[in-house]
Amino acid sequence: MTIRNLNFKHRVAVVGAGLTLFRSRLLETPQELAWLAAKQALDEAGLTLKDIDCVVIGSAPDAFDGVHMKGEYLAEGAGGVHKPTIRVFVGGATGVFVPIAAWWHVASGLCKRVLAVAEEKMSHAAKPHTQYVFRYIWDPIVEKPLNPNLIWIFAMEMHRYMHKCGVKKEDIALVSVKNKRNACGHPSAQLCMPNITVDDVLKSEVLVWPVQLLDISPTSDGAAAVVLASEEEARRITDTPVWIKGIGWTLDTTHWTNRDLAYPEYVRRAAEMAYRMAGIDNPRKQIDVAEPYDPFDYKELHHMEGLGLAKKCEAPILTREGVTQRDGDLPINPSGGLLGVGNPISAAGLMKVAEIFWQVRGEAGERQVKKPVYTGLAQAWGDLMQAGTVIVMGI
Amino acid sequence: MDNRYSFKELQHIEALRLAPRGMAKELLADGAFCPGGRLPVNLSGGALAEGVPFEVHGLARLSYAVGVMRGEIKAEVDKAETAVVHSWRGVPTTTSVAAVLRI
Repeated sequence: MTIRNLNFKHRVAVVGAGLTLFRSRLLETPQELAWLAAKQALDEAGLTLKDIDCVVIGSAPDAFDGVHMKGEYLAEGAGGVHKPTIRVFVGGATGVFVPIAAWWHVASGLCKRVLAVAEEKMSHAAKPHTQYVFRYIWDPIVEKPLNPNLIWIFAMEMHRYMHKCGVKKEDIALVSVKNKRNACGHPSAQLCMPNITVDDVLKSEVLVWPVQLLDISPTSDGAAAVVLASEEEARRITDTPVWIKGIGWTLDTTHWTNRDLAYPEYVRRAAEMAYRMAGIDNPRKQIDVAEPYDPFDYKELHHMEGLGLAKKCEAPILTREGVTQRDGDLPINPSGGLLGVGNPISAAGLMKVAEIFWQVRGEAGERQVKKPVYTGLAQAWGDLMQAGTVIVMGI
Repeated sequence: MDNRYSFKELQHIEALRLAPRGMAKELLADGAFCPGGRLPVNLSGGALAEGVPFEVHGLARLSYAVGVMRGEIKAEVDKAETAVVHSWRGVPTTTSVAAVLRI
């Protein structure tokens, strides 16, 4: 199969997914978390580790777990010992990059059944706060002397977006309210807040204006896993495989001074690649449900626009009109997203892929969106805030 | 192959089944792995001579083998039709990658 410059041999399906609780200070070790998720995904697919040909592990910075060479460390829990195993890493974008890497293992014809596991344990490593991990990600000459931190950078981006699109804090807070309420239907969720209001968000502690405490996802531990299989294997394993229709990833420049802060170019390019593969030319009409990356509330809006699910500056309007609610015309983050379910970096991205898997299968329980789901999308973002990863799945 | 510790070269020779288990040291003493020997190993000098810039090290092994096979690097080998390239992630891992190259 060839779609412009993309060549692959096999169609690939997701046949099982698994998820641990997302919490701060879980007692399990990172290896144990990885296995809990992996076992659940294998069980759902009706497979055992013996059936798995290759393993793909995703984990963001080593420093989060406080273990260097975390891929090798996690291989034990992720079922990768004595198998062709690889760890992939694009910071926050890793969660969606894991199934992308697993996809090419299968699409190339190299492996038939692949276990993809993402894990992060952020509560026990960097002290006094995980933010300290990010002290050394900056350009040592141009940026480090300013001593920036992540929230500082996001505050600039949020400000820029608000300014350029004329968005009010109240509109952005609606995203946080929606997702933290949605999370109440998720058994893994860390921040189910059924009665949260816009006022609560606006009154929460100011971290770096305009970013406030309830604009941000929490610090979390957790793991997620999916099992991928070639078409032939998938049909043998299950009657309801969920096909991976398109994948895309891209990197923008790491110099935030050279990026458009109001519009996520890294998402647009990744989405274009995935849409081309999936044959999607009108995402707003052809995507039934989406899980864009929402570590901050404004990022959901930002990413909806980058994904073409809303026009530039239109996402806050769709949100205000209720279009993005679980029973809306375009449900966004019905899982509760990172703001509600939690944010164990790479596991959070893979949680979104699992959510789309369950939504397409109609197995999302309380979280199942009201409209029929034929095609869904998950997206993550990260690295030095310039990596975009997109996956389109469907029946 | 990876030889960032001298004994690792012997271990890896045996694990790649280029020598029977336990025999690598004798073959080494007989000069089998030397330039012009029966099975020249690490003509580049490998990690012990070149140094180990971690991830660069493995790919450098591969590019060296390609250079020898294409005759771009002058090396004392009788034949250069098939090569095996190996890399190890290093302490504390037990992670390895191997590639077989053939003209």
